[in-house]
Amino acid sequence: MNKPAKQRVLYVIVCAAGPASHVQDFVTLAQASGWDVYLIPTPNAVPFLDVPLLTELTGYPIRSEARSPEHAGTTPPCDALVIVAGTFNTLNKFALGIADNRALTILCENLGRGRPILVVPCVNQQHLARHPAFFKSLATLREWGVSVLYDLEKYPPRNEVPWPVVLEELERITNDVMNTPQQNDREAVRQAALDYVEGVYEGDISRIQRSVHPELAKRGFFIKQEGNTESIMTFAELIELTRTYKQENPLPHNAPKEIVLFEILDHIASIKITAIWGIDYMHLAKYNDKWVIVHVLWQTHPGEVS
Amino acid sequence: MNTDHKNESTPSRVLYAIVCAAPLAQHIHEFIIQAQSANWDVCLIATPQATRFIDIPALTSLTGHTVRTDYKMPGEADPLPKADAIVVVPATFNTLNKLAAGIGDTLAVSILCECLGRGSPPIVAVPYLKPDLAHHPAFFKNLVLLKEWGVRIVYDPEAYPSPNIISWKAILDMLEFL
Repeated sequence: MNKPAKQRVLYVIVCAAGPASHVQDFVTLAQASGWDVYLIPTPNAVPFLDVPLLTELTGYPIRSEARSPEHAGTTPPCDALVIVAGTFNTLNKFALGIADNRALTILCENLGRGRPILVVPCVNQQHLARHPAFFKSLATLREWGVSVLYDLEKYPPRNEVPWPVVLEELERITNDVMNTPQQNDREAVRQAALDYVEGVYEGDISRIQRSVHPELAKRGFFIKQEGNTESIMTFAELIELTRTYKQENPLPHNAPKEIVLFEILDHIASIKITAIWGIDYMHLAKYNDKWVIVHVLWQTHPGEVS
Repeated sequence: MNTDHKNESTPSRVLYAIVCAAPLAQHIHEFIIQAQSANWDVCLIATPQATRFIDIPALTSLTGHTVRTDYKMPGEADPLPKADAIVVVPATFNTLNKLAAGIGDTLAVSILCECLGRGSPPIVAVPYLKPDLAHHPAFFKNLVLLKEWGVRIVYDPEAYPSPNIISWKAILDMLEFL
């Protein structure tokens, strides 16, 4: 069976309401649809969960507490988030920017980062759904681009939307937001970035020629004790650099080549590369269905004064 | 003054330093020492999450005051002297948003809400947060609101790039001009 090179990562945030007790059914469904699922409960949701089962099912520890100073940032970035069994309390806090538990901190960070987020509220139509703050919170979240799946007429009395409908909506919003850049665009952009960094590392001019626009605009800064120097480089100079880089700069076996794709639209893209020489911010554009690097702005590693 | 002090001469003015849960909290003793030499009697108040970042016994002995994290019972005497100024450093996304929304569910936010209501003492807040959180739409709105209410906020991502590292000296200078 062909496993996709890189699975899409989904954070499932689960709050303390009825549907939390069968969230494993949603996890299974999402996994079957190709998502690598991390489950993040609010502290009050934990008693609703079969933690050993969910740990086994997702393959990741289930934690509700805030990250400790030593264990910050242990989960990979996600491609989308869904809040299931979304309670009155958590949704109001989210809309106010209150990040006093792990689930809310992760939600607020990813809202700031512009990740697609789907909210499935679970509130009783007889009381909490009628609290004036709740309606305002949902409106605020929608205004910020969060998708809200909420139809009390269709799913009375608490908006318990069937899991397949939740998944379908999740796929719809992620297709809108994330896959508008088709998966092959993402891979092509990543490949162009790799051609650039590995091309220089390996002294392979052909990889530079195929990944960089001939009218490249490239500038960067060497941060030095005695003051910074700016370096401006043309395409021809980059080719020359590639020819000589390997001889002049002995590379460790594991020289870094970390690529972050900030955003990919249908014609332009913005990325970051961490390489041995420093950090590169790049703009790429698609010419005749081929992604090439048109701008590079870089500096030596922050704090590493030479 | 209701507490003893390590220093022979009792400082004349009291500063509450409120620390929230961010890595900078691990260095709060550096700030306290500098503030003490600028003649502040410093009292430390930590949010519950911030207690994971600080060494409470060491800070108790450094300040000569109880490090407060939780509410006292009604009728219980306040273990701290009255404040002449308050500095919130590091001020997190969470605590600032709670302050703006008026959600006083920690001692730190409750004290800040009381001061806002009373109009004194003056509050300086030094936000410390990741760029992702700074892009949360609630945050910017709340900064504007808090400034409007008179809170001095030291937040200039261009001058002090994220996570907004500003020198202790600059914060102390600001406190002199309240």
